[in-house]
Amino acid sequence: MSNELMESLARQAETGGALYDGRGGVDDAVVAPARRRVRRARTMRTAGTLGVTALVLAGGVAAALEWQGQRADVAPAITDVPVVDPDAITADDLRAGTMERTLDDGRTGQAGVLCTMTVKDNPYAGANFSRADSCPAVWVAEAPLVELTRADVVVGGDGTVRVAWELANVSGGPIAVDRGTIGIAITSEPDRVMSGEGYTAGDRRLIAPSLWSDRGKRVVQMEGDSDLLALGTGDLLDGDVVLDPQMFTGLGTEGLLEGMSDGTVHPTVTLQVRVAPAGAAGTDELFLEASAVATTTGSMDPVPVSFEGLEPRTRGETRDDAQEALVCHVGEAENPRFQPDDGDGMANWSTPTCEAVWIPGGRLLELTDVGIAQQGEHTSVFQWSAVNVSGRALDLDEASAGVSIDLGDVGYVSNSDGVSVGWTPWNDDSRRHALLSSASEPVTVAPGDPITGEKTFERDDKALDAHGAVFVRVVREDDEDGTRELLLELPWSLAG
Amino acid sequence: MSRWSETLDALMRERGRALYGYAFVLTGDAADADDLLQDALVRAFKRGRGPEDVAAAHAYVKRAIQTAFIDTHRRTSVRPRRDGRDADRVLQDPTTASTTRDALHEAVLSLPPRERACIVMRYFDGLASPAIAEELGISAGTVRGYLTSAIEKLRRTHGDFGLDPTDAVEGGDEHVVITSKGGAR
Repeated sequence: MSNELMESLARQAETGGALYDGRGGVDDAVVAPARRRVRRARTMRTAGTLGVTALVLAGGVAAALEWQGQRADVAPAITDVPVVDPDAITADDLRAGTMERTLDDGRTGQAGVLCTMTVKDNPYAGANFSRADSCPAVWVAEAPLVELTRADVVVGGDGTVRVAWELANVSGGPIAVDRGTIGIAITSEPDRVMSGEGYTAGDRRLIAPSLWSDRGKRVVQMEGDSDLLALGTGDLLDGDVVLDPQMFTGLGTEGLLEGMSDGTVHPTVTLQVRVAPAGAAGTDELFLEASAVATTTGSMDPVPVSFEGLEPRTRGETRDDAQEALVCHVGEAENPRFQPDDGDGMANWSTPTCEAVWIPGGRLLELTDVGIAQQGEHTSVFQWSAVNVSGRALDLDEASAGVSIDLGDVGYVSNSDGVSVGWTPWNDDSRRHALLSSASEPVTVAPGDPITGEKTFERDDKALDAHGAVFVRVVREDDEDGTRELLLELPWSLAG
Repeated sequence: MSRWSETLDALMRERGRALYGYAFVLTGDAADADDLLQDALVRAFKRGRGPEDVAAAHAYVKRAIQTAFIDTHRRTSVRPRRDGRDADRVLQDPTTASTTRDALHEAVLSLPPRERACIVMRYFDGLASPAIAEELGISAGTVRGYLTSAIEKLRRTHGDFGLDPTDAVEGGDEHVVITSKGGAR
C-alpha cells in the first residue's frame, strides 16, 4: 500500500502549515504583492475596454491605441504663468462671439472647435472616460489669441518621434485655459478633408492626415485631468511629447513616419487648448487651435538586413512558396524584451500592431497539431506543435511564442500571459495585432524537428471552433536590436 | 473595498494555511511556495468579478496552484533532468518511519513537475486518474502514464516503500473534494 507516501505528503503539508503559522500568515510576502498585481491587471483590462469604447463611439473612424507603456511626458511645463486671475477670459466669454468656420473659407483669426454634448457625456464634467469627436469648426476671434511659437519634431533612430512645442498668449488679456487637457495633433495634409483614412488617437496625442472630418467639422480629442490656469498676455506654455513607433502603425498614419524621416513630409503640429468655462463644465466645450508647420530633424536608422527581402502580405492571402510573418516596429522602449524585469517572475506581454509580410523562399514552420483542452470551469489550455519544414536549422524564441484566438466581431479582447482571445486582431488588410514577450529562450530547431507550446487562458467556449494564429519570434543575428521584431505567423482553425 | 478584494481576504483568513501547505507540498521550499501561491491568487482574482465565495475561491486557487506550478517549472526548465540514481537500500525499519517519510518526500520533489503534480493529486488529494485529468486538462491516459512513470522512479531511486503502481493508476476518488478542516486539502 502507499500509506507511507500519503503520510509523507500530509506531513509536508503540515510542515508548510506550521511555517505559515510561524510567520503569522503570508500577508506581506504573498497576499499584498498578489493584490497589487491583481489591481494592475484589472486596471490594464479597464484601459483596454476604454479603448474599445472609443473606437465604437467614433463610428469606426478612430483607431483606439492600446497603450502598453508608460504615459507620455505630454504635460506642459509652465514657463512664466501666474496661476490665478479671476479676470481671465472664459469659454462663456468667447462662445457668444464665435462664427462658423469651414475649410478654405478665406478668413483668418483665432481658430477653434466647439463641441456640444450632454453633461453626462462630457469628460470634463465628471464622466470617467475620454472621447474623440468630430465637432463644428468655429472662428473665435478676428485675431489670434494664442500662437504656436515653437514646434520641433525630432525623429529618433528607432522611429520614436519627439515633439517640443511652445504656446504663447498673443491676445490683450489673460485666458483661462486647461493645461492638463491640451491635445497635440500631427497631420500630414492639414488642408484637406479626410477621405476615410481615419486617425489614431490616445493619451492626448493624435495622428491623422488632417483634422477636417468634413468641410465644417474638426476632430478633437477630449482627454486628461483638468488643470486650469490663467495664461496672461505674453505668457508661455511649453511641452514635450513622445510618440513611439507603434503610434504610427494605426489608421491615418500611412507613410507619415517614413516621410518625416526621409524629409518628404513636413508635418503640421496643432495644439487644441480647452478654454475653461466660467463655472462648472456643462454641455459645451470650446477649444482654441494653434498650428504650425514643424521643423523636422533626425531620421530613422536603416532597416536591419534581417528584414530585407520581405514582401507585403494581405489578410487571407495564401502562398506555398513563402512563410507568413509579421514585422513589429515597436521601438526598444516599447519592446517587452528590452524592458526591465519587474521581479514578479511573470513574463510581460504586449500586443503591438504589426505589418503582415511574406518571407519568400518556401515555408519554414508548419503546424502539425493544435488543440484546446478545457481545464475545469474557468480555464482552458491551448496546445500546439509545429515542425521545421525549411530544410535548414531555424533559430527561434521558444519562450516568447504567443497565441491569438480570433472570435470575430465579439466586441471584447482578453489578453493574458501570451494569449489574446476575442475581437479580430486585424486592424486592416495588412496590419494586425501580435504578441511580444519579455521572456526569451532561443532554441535552434533542426530540420524536421518539432517545436511545441502550451498556453493557459480564461475559458471561453467560443474558442473551441475558432481560428487564429501562433506566433514564434525569429532570433536574428542582430537580436540585440529591439527596434523591430520578426515573428513567424502560423495560422490554424478549429472550425468543423 | 471591492468584492474580489473582500473574497481574497476571507479566503486567506479561512483557508490560507491549507493553500500555503498545498503549495509547500508541491515545491518543498518556503520561498517557492510564496511565489506559487502568489501566482495562483493572481490567476484566480485578476479577471471578471473573481470567485463568488470562499469555497469557490479555494477550489479555483487550488487549481491555479496546480497549473501555475506546472507552468512555472516549464518556464524554468523546459526539459526536466532525468534522475538516474538507483536505490541503494530499502528501508523498512518502523523506528525510522519519520526519516522514511522525509526521504520519500525528497524523492517526490525530484520528480518532473507533471509527475510530481499527479503524485500529489493522487496521494495527497486522493484523486483518481480521471479526476486528475479533469483538473489538469489532460487525458486520463496521460495521467496514468505520469503516475506509472513516477512510481517507477520512486521505487527505482528510493526503494519501493510499498508503492503499488496498480493502486496509483486505479485508486482514488473520482470527484474533486475541497475541504478545509485541519488544512489538509
